[in-house]
Amino acid sequence: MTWLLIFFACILALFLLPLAPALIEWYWRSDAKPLTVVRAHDGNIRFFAWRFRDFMEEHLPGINQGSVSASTPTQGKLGKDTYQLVDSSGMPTLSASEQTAQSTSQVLLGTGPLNLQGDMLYEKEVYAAGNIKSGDRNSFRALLSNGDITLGDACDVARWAHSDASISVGRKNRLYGRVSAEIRICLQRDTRFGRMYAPAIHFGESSRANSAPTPQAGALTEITKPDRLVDQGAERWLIAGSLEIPPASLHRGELVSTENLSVGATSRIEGSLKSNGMLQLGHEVCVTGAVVATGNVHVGRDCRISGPVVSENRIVIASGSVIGDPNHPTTITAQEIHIEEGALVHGSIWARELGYVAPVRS
Amino acid sequence: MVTTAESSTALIASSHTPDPLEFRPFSALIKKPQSSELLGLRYTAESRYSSISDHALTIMLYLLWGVIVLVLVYTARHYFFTLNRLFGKQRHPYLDIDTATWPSVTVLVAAHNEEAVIAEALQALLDVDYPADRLQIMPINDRSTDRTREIIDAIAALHPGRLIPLHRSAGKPGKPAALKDASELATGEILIVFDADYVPGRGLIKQLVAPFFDPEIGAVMGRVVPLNTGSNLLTRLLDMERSGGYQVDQQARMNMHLVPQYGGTVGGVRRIALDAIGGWRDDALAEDTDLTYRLLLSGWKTAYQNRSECYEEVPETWPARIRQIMRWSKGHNQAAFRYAGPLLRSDKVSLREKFDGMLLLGVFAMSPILLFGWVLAVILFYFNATNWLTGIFALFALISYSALGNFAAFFEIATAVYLDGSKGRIRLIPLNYFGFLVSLLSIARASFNQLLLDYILRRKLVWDKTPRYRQATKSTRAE
Repeated sequence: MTWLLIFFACILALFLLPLAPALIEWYWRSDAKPLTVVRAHDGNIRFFAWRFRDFMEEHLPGINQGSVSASTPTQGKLGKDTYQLVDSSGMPTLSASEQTAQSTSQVLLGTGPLNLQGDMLYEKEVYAAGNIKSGDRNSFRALLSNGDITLGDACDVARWAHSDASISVGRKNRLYGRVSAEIRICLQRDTRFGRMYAPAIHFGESSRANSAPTPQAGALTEITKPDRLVDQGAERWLIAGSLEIPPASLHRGELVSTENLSVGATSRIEGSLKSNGMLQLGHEVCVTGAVVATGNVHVGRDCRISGPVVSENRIVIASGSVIGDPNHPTTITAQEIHIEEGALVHGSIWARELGYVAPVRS
Repeated sequence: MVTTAESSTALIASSHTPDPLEFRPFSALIKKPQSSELLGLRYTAESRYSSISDHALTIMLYLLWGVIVLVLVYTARHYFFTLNRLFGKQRHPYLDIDTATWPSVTVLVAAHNEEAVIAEALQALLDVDYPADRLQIMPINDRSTDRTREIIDAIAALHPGRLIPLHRSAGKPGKPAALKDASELATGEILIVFDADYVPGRGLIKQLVAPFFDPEIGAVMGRVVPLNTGSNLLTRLLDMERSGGYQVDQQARMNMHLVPQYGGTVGGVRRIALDAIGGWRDDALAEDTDLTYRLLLSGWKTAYQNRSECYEEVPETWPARIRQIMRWSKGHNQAAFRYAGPLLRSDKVSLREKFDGMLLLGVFAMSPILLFGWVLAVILFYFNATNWLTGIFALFALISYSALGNFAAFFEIATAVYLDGSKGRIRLIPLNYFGFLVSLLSIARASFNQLLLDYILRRKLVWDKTPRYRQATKSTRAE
């Protein structure tokens, strides 16, 4: 009888063995909390800048209000890091070893403007109550300024940069993280970027934007219903297949095509466009709504688009085009975004893989 | 050429006498004939007993084959979705739209006896990051008998002009009817729907509205995350099941341009599209599925936003869970009967959407079909019809099904939990089998009731509210 019991006990143990991890987890509950949903998260591009401001204020009360000053460079601890409070000269004091290594691991805090020499790696955050001016070929972790930020050529920003006024960067900069300014951002040719926000983002030395007239409805021809129009409810045309809109056309309402969509030059669309393929706008096209495509989007010269521009692949925006307007900022988002010098964007740009300021094509 | 084994089997069959006491071994004990058919597969079944004919068994055999094919299709679907989430290109096209001229929005919060949760939901909505002049919050008190009305009115009084309460005391009960009434008063271009137990984050409304800049989008669905995960085993199993449904199923459908489903809450619909398809149907038991398909048939897409997450409560008792899944099942099957035909005939829906749409409509029908398949398999076994599947093919089929088919849904859940970055809870996967069995039987029962009893007895499909636990679980979660 005992052996029989042992036998059945063994059988039962054998049966339960694969369930042991599950039973242990059920009983001891090592991972029974709800998944984390950060309710306070609103995706604000300034999130890291604001958090750094709070961090500084916690350790150096009054620094954000400009009430902290230094007659000579002063060092101290800011969390785990060493900071240097830069005096009113605006030139950080770097040791010989830092000069030799072309690198500093101090958090630089400018009580006024900051002038940063070139060819350096600034491993920690740089803050200035005034403007920040950087030489060429610098690499930054993060920049925060109550005034303007001006970067020379070939600088890198690894994490984020925020200015309460304007940011201006030279040629061949690489802005990997978030870049935001409360007034304006100006980018020069061959600069790469990721995520940016400003009420006005200029590309190139001189913006040609706003020079082209906006097509007016009166001079245009309303497009006729395409043959493959499968639905026209809810102020929207749904077209099976590709659609090619001739130049100088007018359409009031939304347009959705199941394949490619192209809009001829100087046309006006009073609504949004969606293409389940490529979407091409000729020069001087005006779209009052959004432009969305699963494929590439090509925006020709001197176009005006009021709503978001979204592509699941690549967006190319030619010189002179204006996206959004000062009173109605908008978003451009794609895996890859190429914007020619001379274009102007009001609002956000989010290039998931590569944003690039391209020279004007001849 | 007839082999010795075939001869002996034929002898057993032909020399059959009606002696009831005669011992006849089960078919599994009888030596199987060597089949001359391809891979040992036979196309007809032979009965050992006169009580059931060869013809009847052959019909059953083909029905079983049908069930097996359907199971395999759904198995392949599970794998297709899961592998897409692991290795495919992920689509989040609207996630980055954070700056725009935002359209006007009405947030509808359906509430029936929600005194435990309504205040927190409304407070969270008042706190969202959305232009206040474009946001109308409309709690719908649907004939509550507790303090829901009082709480809503108190919050509305504290925020004049921001909350537009709707108190329903007459008319058809149920969420679809409540939404229908509320939509007539709503002024927003976009209608966002929450249940009263949902606690939205600050950025959620913008995230849910962003896809509507695409003129092809008619509805949007966010992700639901259980809040009372740790209450008991059931909530932990449901937490993993929800992960599988959203993190893998819905996102994979979004990735592959299939049919993501509007889920009735943490989602929204374009007002103009809703009007164009005739508004909410108050006779729909699953107004979410109903809406998804009506929009699809009119050429509107549903977008899924996997990173637009919101907490909800899941049932904490098995009876509540059974009632919930039976209601879902009936509602889903109702939609299947209504829209399967139109979907196949539609000229506005792509082939891939039709295929996925049909499979989605059939999800809840699979439980009774699977049970039916099991019954058929048992009958065929005991009536000696098992020789349709012999030899190495049977062995391979068994191994493949056990290794792949049987576990496809669990693989999906495990992948979802992995993608969520959870560590320990993945060990609970084997226990999900019990949840699966309960669902299987509940859905089968609901389908049976719906097809036979509801129809014969002319019973009306009724809305059944899932209970709330927040007050009861406060102390539990505080531990």
